[in-house]
Amino acid sequence: MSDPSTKKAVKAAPEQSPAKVARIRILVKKTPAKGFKFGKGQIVSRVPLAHAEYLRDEGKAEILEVGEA
Amino acid sequence: MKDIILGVHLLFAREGDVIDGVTVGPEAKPDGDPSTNYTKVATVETWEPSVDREIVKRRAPSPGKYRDRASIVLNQTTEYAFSLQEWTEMTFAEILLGGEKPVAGVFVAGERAELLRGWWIVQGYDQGDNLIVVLNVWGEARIDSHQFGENLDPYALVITELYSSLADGEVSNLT
Repeated sequence: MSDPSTKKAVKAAPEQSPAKVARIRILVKKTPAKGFKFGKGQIVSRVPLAHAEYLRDEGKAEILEVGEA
Repeated sequence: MKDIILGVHLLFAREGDVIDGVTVGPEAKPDGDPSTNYTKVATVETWEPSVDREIVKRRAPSPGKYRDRASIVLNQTTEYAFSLQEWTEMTFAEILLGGEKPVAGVFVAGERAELLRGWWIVQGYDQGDNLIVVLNVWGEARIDSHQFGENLDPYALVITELYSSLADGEVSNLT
């Protein structure tokens, strides 16, 4: 029998939720996303959701669609 | 105030190039960081910006003889002329000889349907390495002619600015 005190605790791997991305429409010119500046009306895909939400809250973009990376 | 803008640098991001899934275009301008987004065009010897305007004068009697009352700018063309030293595939095969982008060095002169367009960054520094001006220009480039020979003269590349809502510029150290 093995000594239970010598057993290493096995931590369950934290569940990682898949990264979310968004497709957004730019509402204000010179809005930054993905290392670019975009003009008004441009559609940008695969923007990290956190940044997309920030731009939405700032009134610089609207979120058209949310998906997984 | 400054006496001089001395050292000028010209960088380029080509229309149609894809960076991180985004296509470079007039309403999609890549940031200068990372620096790999832009390539240095060549060593710049001189830079000459120029603005050509078509102006209609409105005149009014004052009280008899007519004098200028207002100038109305109907249109404007901004050009940036550079004297450059080194040749590259882009400046030689595409801009001077009018070919498409060479593939493994192979191209056909005169095949290009349109001028080479993209984002151009112009940076100007003074003699103390202080940045004086940065321009972000959406434009197309041409080299009208060049005489090759022993003299090693620089060649003239002219960028004509095209409209983009993202074009801008910033001056510093001029107050």
